[in-house]
Formats: sequence, structure tokens, C-alpha cells
Amino acid sequence: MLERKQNLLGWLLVLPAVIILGGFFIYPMVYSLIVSLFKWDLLGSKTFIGLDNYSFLLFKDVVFKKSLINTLYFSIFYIIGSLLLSLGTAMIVQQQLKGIRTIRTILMTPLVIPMAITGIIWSLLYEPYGFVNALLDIFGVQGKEWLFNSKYAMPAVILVSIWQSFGLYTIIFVTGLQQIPNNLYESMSIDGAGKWKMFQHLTLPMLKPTTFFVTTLLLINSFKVFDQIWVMTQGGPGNSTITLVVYMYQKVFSSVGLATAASSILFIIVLCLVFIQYYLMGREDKH
Amino acid sequence: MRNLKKILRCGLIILTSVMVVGVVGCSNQNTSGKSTKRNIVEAWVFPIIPPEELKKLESEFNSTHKDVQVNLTVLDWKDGREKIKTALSTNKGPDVFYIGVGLDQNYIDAKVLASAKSIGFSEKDLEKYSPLIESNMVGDSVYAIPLGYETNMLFYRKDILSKFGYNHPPSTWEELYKIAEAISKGTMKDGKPEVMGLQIVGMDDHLNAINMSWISMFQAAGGKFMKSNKSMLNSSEGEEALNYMRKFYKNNISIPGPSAVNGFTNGTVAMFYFTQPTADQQSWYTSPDMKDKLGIAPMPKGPKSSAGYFGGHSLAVNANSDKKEQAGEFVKWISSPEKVDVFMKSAHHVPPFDLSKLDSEEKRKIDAITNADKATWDVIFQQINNNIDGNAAKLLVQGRKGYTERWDAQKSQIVSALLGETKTKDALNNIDVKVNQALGD
Repeated sequence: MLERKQNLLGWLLVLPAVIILGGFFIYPMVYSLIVSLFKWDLLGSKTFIGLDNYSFLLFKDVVFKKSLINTLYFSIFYIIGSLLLSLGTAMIVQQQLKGIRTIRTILMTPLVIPMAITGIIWSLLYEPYGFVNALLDIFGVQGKEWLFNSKYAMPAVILVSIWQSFGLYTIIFVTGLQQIPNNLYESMSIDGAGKWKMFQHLTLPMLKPTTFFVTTLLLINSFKVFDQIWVMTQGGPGNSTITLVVYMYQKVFSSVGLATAASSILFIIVLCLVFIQYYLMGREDKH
Repeated sequence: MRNLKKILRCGLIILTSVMVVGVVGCSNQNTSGKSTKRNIVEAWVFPIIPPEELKKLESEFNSTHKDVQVNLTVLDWKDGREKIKTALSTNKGPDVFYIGVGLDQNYIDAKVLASAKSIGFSEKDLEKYSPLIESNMVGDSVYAIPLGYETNMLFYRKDILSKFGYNHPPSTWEELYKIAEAISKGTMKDGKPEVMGLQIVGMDDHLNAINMSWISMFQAAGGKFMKSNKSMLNSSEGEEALNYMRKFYKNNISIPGPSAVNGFTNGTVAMFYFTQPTADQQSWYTSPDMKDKLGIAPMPKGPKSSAGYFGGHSLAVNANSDKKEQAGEFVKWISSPEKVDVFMKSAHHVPPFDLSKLDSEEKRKIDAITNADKATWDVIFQQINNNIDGNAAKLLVQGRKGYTERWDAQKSQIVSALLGETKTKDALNNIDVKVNQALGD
């Protein structure tokens, strides 16, 4: 009797979490999966069409393919750029130098500015007669129409994204670096290892859990990139900066089925990538 | 004893709560005890005139109508359409909502638009409207009531044009190109014009506007959105319009990026074309800086006509609303000839009525406004007539099908073509493919 009461109490205690998870996470995901099997323009009635939305996206829709390629393009450069910059900055700011606290604060500043505001500010900076071109002009470099040229629009957006978020990853790396015991560096130094050797054989391996965490965050954030692109280019010029989430947003008010099918595909891609990453990191650990 | 105190305290709390609820409940009754509960109508609109003007209209309606209270919500242009559509998809949504002139086939198919007659408009009321009302009709029925029309006009800086020897605005495509070229080439520095002869709106930070800019040229070239139920932008008319627009960027007369409106204000853009309320929004009519500089002209004549982009703002009543009658009362009031002066004054919106069919009292306010600024109103009315002659309403009706898809596809493809990144024929074909796919091709 007592055991039954305790069981009931246990269920009651987890009930709020179950309701929140079920109502706000599981139900929308399942509903989105169901809707992806229908043709629906949001206002009219839904028509069941099976997997037609998926086959259209994967085999016929060139814009979806472009959005997939652009998302990969964005992800690769955003992840590599952010990782290198934040790790490098972390190595610098973890040292006890004069004024380092001010530098750490400055690094965090872009993070507290909403992405939409960041996008607007950078759009102005990128204007043909804007600050960036004026700066380049001082060094004798011909300015570009950054957001109006399909060659430069995506790199311009990636740069802003890295600038906005690398402060956060720097702080995470600083925390990781602080976990490495100093005596290990001292031992290696006694053995005659140089700075590069220490970085290669001590810092990097010891930072592996942090790097895994940061990479996972970067991966997820890069695949759901939306705000800065919507504010700065709306996916243009042409479709040169359209990403998966921008594509979904454009579609959701005219073809809910296609948008939700695209979101299911995005979910599977991110899941696969995280599993691959998890597997690779685990395999290295065994070695 | 302690229990008794607790009970008394609880009793006191309950009693106080009941009294509070009672007082609040009674506040809806007048002194005679008769209920004065009003029907609340939710209306979602866009800031087609300054929001404070809309709020004034709301207050005026509520103070003059004792049975109906309207709650006016002013939505943001950037996501308001999506909010309306999402709300209507729940089969509830607002009782009255904004819809652009021309309507959207999705709304028609979903049967969310109540017909004008079902919300209290008589045949006589509807006869007062100009022929452009056709753009809000399906079959013989009107499904949204226009508040005012907008049309693309050519804005030109008189001071810049006269500096280059032009005392009149261009009246044809050829002249527009020639004047723009003279200004841009005449101010060229380091490969870029210091004063751009023409900037096309949408090739700047106002990306959505590329739709209006393109449609203007497409319309003037005699283009049609649909032929035999298929999207047909990829046509000789489409190519001619797009190639013409492309010439400005290809020949470095215009450069993508700088804002047309800001450039016009500060004198780095000599001409642009966009809807007539732009001048009101920028306070150009009253700004001392723009005195003797602002010029407004009808759209330059293209290969087929002088028609340009034409649109406007309407209100529709939700067919699923249980307050259709009251919602209709509000729509009838706000769209009446007596209230049209608010829209004319605030944004130079063209009244949707056939002025010859209004009685003298109804016409009085309209005449007062048009007479106060005759030159401006004359060119706006001239452009509206050009639109009527160029079958602009028919183009709007054609555009209902695949409207959202066309809107999005044009944004990416037209810009891409103007930048020379996609061939004009390919860009037009890409739009057709997207629209036809959406139509179930």
C-alpha cells in the first residue's frame, strides 16, 4: 500500500515536467510530422498526400537543394571560424594580463545585442557607401556591394554570425582551460616541451570534452540560422543566402506541409551529424 | 478559539471577494439597472495611415456607437499578414481584418471573406465605387471594402533635373533612361555615380518593394501574370520589362544598395518610383528642406501603356465571425465617403469612389482636400486613370492565384536578374515554375 502511494507520489512529482515536455516539445514535433503528410495552405482544409512533400523537396525543388547547400556552406565556415577564433581568444584572455577583465567584458558585448539589431547595424555597415567600404578605401581596397552580390553575401553574413557569438564560446573555452592542472604544463616544460608541443599534446587533448560541447552547440546553432539572414538579406540576392530555416519560414504561410517536411529533414540531418560527431569523439577516446 | 478566528478570517476574505466581483459586475449596468453590454468587434489593421489617426477613428466610432465597441489592433507590416492568416486558420481570428486590394485566392478558397451584401452593404452603396472595385470582386460579389488606393508614381528632384537641363520629368521609358544616364554619368567619381539618376526601390534595403517596382514595368510593357491558368511571366513583355530595368545596373547608372528614399531626401538619388504615400511618410510635403525640390509625376509610358503598380487597402469581415452584423457596421462607417478624408489627408490615398456618383455633401470633404493641393492630386488621379486604362485591376485579379509564391519568387529572381547573376529569361522562368508548382502543376 505504502509502495503504491510512493509510486503515485513519484508520478505526481514528474507530472509537471511530463506535461511541459509533452505539450511543448513532443506534441508539436509529432503534429509537425503528421502535417508534413498533408497539402495545406494554412487557411483551407488539409489534403492527405502521403510522402509527396518529401519527394518534392528531395527530388524536384531546386530552392530546397540550394538552401541545404547554403546551410552546409554556412555551417562549415561558421563552425571552423568560431572554433578557431574562440579558442585562440580564450588562450589569450585566460592569461593574467593587465586589463584582461575589460577585454573579456568587451568580448561578451556582441552577445547581449539581439541578433535582429546586430543584423540591422551590420547591414548599414555593409552598405556600398558604408563603414566597411570606407575602411577598405583607406587601405586602397575597392569596396564591394557586400549584401547585393551573391559571391560576397554569404561570407558577409558568416562574419557577422561569428562576430556575434564567438564571445560565448570563448568563455566556455576559458572555463575548459582553467580545468587543466598547471602541474601538467610544468612537467612538460621540465621535459623540454615548447609552447606548440604543449598546446598540441596537452591543451588540445584535455580540452576535448569542451571542444565536443562547443562543436555540438555550433552545429545546432548553424543549422537553425535564421535571424541575421532574414534581417540582412532575406535569403537573397537570388537565393544565395537562403538556408533551411529561411526556406521553412518562407513556406510555412503558403504551404505548411512543405515547411514541416523540411523541418523533419533538418531534424534528421542534425541528429545524424550529432551522432557521427559523438561516435568519432568516442572512438578517439578509446584510442 | 484559534479555529474560530481562522474561520472568521476566511469568511471575511470570501465576503470581500464576493463584494469586489459584485462591484465589477455591476459596473456594466447603468443607473436604471438595464444592461449596456456592447458587442466587442476585434479589428486588425495595418498602419496605412499613422497609428494615432487610426486610434482617433477607433475612439470616434466607439463614442458614437453605443451597441458596438471596436478594439483596433494595429499590426506591423513585417509580420502582420502572417498573424492574420494564422489567426484565421483557427476558424476564429479577428472579426474585421486588413486585406490588400486584389484579394488572395487562399482567402477566397477558404471562404473566410464575408460578402459585402451579407454585412449590410446595399446595391446602392456599392454603386458608388469606381470601376477599380472589380479587383475586390469574385464573380458578382464584393468581398472586401476598399479604404483607399495606392499607385506607383515617379518622384523626381526638381533641383537636380534642372541642374542637368531638364525642366520636366520624363514621360516615357526612353526619357527616363536618358535623364538618369545623364545625371549618373555627369556625377561619376571612382566608377560610382555621386548622384544616382534612378534608384529602383527594392534594390536597396526595402527588398519587398522590388515586387511593386517590377510589376510597374511589367504592367507598362503589357505583361500578364497568367495565360490559360499558367503563370506566364516568361514572355516577350516580361523580358522587355526586365531587360529595361537591368540596363540601369548593367550600365552603372544605378548601383544596388543605397536607399532610394534616403538618397532622394539627401540629394544622392534624383529619381525613384514608388507608391504615393511615401511622400507623406517622409514628411516631404511639409519639410522646408524639400521645398521646391519635390516633384511627383505619373509613371513614364512604357511600350504598351502608362499604367504602373496599383494596389490599395481594404477591410474584410471574417465569414466565421459571430458578430458579422456589428463588424459590418464598423466597416461601413470607416469606409464611408464621410471618413475618406482621413485617408486622403494622412497618406494621399485615392478615394475608392466614383466621384460623379457621390452626392454634394459626400463630395464636399473630398473636394476640399483635392483643391488644397490640386497639382499633386491631379497627377495622382491621372495615374489612377492610366491604371484604369491599362487594365491594372484585371492584373490584380490575375495575380490572386499563386500570390504568395509569386511574391517570394519575384523577390529573389528579379533582384538576381537585375544584378546580372541570372539571365532575365531564366529568372522569369524560375518564377513561373514556382508559381505553377504552387498551383498544382
